[in-house]
Amino acid sequence: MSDPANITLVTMDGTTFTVPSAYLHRSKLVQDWLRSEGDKQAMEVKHVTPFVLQGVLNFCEIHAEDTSEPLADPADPTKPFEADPRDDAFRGMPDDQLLQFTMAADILQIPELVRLTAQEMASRIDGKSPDQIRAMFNPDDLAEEDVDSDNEMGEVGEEGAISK
Amino acid sequence: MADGKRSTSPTQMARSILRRLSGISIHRKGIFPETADVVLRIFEHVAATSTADTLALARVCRSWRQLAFGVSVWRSINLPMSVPTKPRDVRQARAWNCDHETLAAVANHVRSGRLPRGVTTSLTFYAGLPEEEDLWPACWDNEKIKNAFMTVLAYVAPGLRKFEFEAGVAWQAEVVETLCAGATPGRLTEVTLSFRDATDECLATVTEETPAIQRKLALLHPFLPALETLRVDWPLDRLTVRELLTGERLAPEEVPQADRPENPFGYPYCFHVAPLAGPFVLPPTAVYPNLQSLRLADFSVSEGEEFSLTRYDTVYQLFATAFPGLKELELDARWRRHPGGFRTFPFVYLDVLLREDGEFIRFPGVERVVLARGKLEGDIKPVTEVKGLKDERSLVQPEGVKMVMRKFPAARSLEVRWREGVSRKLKVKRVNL
Repeated sequence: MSDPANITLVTMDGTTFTVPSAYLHRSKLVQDWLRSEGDKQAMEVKHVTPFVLQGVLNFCEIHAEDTSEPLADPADPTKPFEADPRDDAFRGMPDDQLLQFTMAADILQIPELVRLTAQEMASRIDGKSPDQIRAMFNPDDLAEEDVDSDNEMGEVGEEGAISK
Repeated sequence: MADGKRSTSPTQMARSILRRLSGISIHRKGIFPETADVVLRIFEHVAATSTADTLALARVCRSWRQLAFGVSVWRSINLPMSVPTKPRDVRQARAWNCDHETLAAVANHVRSGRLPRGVTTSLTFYAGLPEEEDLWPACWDNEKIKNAFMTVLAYVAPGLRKFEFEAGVAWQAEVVETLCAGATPGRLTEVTLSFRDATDECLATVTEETPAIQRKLALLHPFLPALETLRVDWPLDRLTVRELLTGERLAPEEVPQADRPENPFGYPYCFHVAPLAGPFVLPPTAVYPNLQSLRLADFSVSEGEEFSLTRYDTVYQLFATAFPGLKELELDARWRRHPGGFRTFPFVYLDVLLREDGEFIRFPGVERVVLARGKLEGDIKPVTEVKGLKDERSLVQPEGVKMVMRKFPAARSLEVRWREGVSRKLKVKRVNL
């Protein structure tokens, strides 16, 4: 490794980003890579686009000096979590971009960013019907007959049973 | 993942027809990731706040259904019953239907064994029925809803760490019994029990059935050593300190009268140690060092009966001894109308808490104090006259803070809530000490 203070990341299209290693101290993937293969020139992040990686690195830079305890991976979603105004950029993002960031954070194993983006995505799903969620995400393996036949929602019947 | 490509489903045909008719392009964004891990992360966050949304996700498609019933998604179950209070409000009616269906669906998944077993660590149920019965939804069936909830509770109880419950008093005995029968001592660390519908009928029921309720509450004793948080909001009535400590009911002639020595101020009040019953019927030597957070509500006095400041001090002494690890203390009082037509005055606890005459109990470990909807006024002279504190909001002024600090020497934050103005809007003020 030429410069232990910095790390170079290479995205899917070959774009390189060189940043201080300290920015990525919360990324378990990067920390593992530094320990095992830190003598190599650059770390490949094949499934991440330059735009998304830039956003992830911005997040890491903003939070580089945070003193809070690192989260477990995966973070416990039931623990209360206060929104940080420094992360407002993620809240105005289109759904597809937000999902790309969630995936990138998952790949790089940054639980703080996974929590932020997953929480934001969960808030967008909040209160929506299955139809509205389908319109929002349209999962590729959607089989319509599953959807129409799966109607277990009914009335509360005797002894808590469901009467359709 | 998918079961393979289908030929042409009715919906696909409909899409095709629509496209031809209107020229509208109905195309799939397909933006959701294929990585199950990422989808699961999102589902877990959805599930942490809303079980209704989790069930909606399960109905999107078959692969999402499999993911939505994954072990990690059902760590928490939230079952609010947002009961409509306005008869013709469509939004309220929709929310009620959704909550009602969610409870039904979860009960159904439990009964069919579809819900992962032993993974749920947090269960929340809230039924906010208005006091006026004519405002209850026409389809509200208390017994059926209770049965559905009990089915869910019995199923998930062994794994529970946190149980949060708020509903009518008619549920109380069964909820405690079901919880205690299934929950694992040493695992359950946070319990909130709130039975707060204050209808005359409910209060009368509570008053009559106090001994039976206490017996049920005694079932909680094995869980107390591991509890870190206990919140009790319970309109139990007419309990004395002796009853509190021993669990025995006093005969009417044994109840202390206003002119007895333990009532030095001779106030015509009797305080209700309502929320302290049950779990606090403790052996005097019991110590529960793990309990860090305690919230007590309905801490009130009643006009027309005897009152004793000594009793309050006894209760505080009980807390200080039994819960040496207490870091958060919230006292939340409410004004309440009783069946007999007399009113309660939920203010005395503050005066007693802050009194400066004679001996009083200190809480050396409490760092966060919440004094909510209590009052400093009326005849309680030891505080109001000496220190000039006029009302609850005085507590966040320098003189009031000084008094709070005498009682809570380690306090780092103080929150005071009070109602103000014609609208009786709830005001909240927090200060760092």
